[in-house]
Amino acid sequence: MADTVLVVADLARDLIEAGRTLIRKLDSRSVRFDVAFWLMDPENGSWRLHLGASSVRETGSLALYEKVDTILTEMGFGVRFWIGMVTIEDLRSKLVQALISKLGSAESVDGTRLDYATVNGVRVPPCVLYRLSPEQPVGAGNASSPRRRPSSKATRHAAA
Amino acid sequence: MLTADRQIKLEWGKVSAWRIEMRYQLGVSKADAAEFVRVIAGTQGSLTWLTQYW
Repeated sequence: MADTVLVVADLARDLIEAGRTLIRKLDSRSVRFDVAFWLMDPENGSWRLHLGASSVRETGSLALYEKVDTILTEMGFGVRFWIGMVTIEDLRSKLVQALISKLGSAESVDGTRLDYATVNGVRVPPCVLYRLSPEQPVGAGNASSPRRRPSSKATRHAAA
Repeated sequence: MLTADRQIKLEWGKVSAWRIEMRYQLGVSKADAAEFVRVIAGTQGSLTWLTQYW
């Protein structure tokens, strides 16, 4: 019998903070995304910042990529945090809908981390949340480091 | 007017967000899908550029 422990690559703390800064700057320029979170790709351990807006359905996402890139370039992270690490999407994916339905009505989710949680039947790869509804504040001084939801758990696979 | 480099960078952002599961995602809007096809296969698209070098 062999055990395989799934190793979760951690998201660097400065990138978590940089994502928060980006969202606040976007908010201040009236580019307000309804949802925002980092999500790990389980296949390669890389992280992408997911920004969701309902307007993508009508207008596509390229114009929003341009606005995000303008601010990212100003922030000066270079290739460490660039537009190629950002996914701009509408709100219809199963994962986004599951997160919104479970946590979208919370007062704040900023800094919440989920590790392979199952939310409304959808398995969610490791993620760090900033916002799951337009009303949720980001960077109100309550989220200097990720906090884990009590219901989330690291996954341990056992193979016979 | 965007420079060619910036245009490529932005379009790469959109292209690189594609994941295999998206083939099964329902409800993708016509506007978003058409934009995706354009940045891949349009006259300035990534695939169009790439095919010049293979």
